[in-house]
Amino acid sequence: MLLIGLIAAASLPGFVQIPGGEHRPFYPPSPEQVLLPVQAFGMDITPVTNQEFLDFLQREPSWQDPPIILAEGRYLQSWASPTDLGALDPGAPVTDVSWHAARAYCQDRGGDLPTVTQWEFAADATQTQATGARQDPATLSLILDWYALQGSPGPVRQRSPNLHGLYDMHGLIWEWTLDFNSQLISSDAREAGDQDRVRFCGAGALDASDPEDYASFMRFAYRSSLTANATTSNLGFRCAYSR
Amino acid sequence: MRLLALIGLAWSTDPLPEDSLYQLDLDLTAADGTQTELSHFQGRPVLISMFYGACPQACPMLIAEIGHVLDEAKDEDLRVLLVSLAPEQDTPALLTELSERHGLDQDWLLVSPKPGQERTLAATLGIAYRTMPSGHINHSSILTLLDPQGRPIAKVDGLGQSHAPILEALD
Repeated sequence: MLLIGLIAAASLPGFVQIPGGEHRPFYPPSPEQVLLPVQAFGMDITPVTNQEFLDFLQREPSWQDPPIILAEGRYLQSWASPTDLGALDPGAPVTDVSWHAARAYCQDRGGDLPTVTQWEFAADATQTQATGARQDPATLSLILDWYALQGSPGPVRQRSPNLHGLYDMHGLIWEWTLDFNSQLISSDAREAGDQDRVRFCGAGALDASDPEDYASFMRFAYRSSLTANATTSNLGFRCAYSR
Repeated sequence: MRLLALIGLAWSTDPLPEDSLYQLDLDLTAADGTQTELSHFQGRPVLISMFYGACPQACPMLIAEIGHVLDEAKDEDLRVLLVSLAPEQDTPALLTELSERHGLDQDWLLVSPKPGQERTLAATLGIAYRTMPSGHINHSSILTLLDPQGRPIAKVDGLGQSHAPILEALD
């Protein structure tokens, strides 16, 4: 049993246990829910890399060429082929992957994509504190510099991890979440007609817990622009694990 | 008759198009308790959307709206597939009760997916949803028209919108 456990641990990419806590969501689900409880969960310390995704594709050939309903035509478009990274850095995060493909990878590892709440909670840690990245000028500056970057992402783990030991939560890629399609419906949008309000950036930001939090707004707006088979050159993922 | 049989055979052996929704492998339970798949109505055009049984307002409106589309389309082949966003609550008994309450006939199929699979379908159809503290589910009401092979060919986003995209695609 111990041996099996050791082998399993050695074959998994590094992940850490994130202690539970409370998360102040950017878009509270309702006026009464400004703090959401978060149970402890495991999370990959880095985004899934090109090499890790290539290993997965070799184990699961059905994901080398999935139908368009599961991954649009640009899937892995920067790879030489689904079994060859070509000139890509094996240590860079995999991008051009759909939500379906990312979930299949995580489920293969016994996990799933993190929920928006899990991801945002984990990403709010600074290097020294469990919360506060959203108000941290250094983090915001990193994110704004990243928005201006062009080209494919560099390798993972080039900057210091946050308090949880997570690398690259900001400033490298966008990341898929399990419930990316749960966004921008505030509690005030119960009436069908009101849902149109969420399609307008300004109206959406009015319901946000901190309208000054531009980086969070961008993440939520980006997620809400996605469909499950979408792939882009700066959208990757990491996995989460619940006990 | 013989020609029809041949066409039927062709449907069953041709591989599904790459962009067919029927590529999704979901386990659905119908109101009568039988197991089925998204491709239940394959071979006919299908209107598909998502709902939940306890929905106080938007879902009855969605059902009424789909009824209007059926009336306007006057297409005898057109079928309706409604998939639950709350599979743990929407048991076959509840789906049956809902069908009877709204007087839905054989052209309609209400199903609950295996729990967890509702997210896969919603994400694929572009339906956003979130469960509220009250237990109600806020969700967008996107109505999608699938062609006989399950390809999405038209959609109407939201209630009270023009059905023209769907009606034109059916022509």
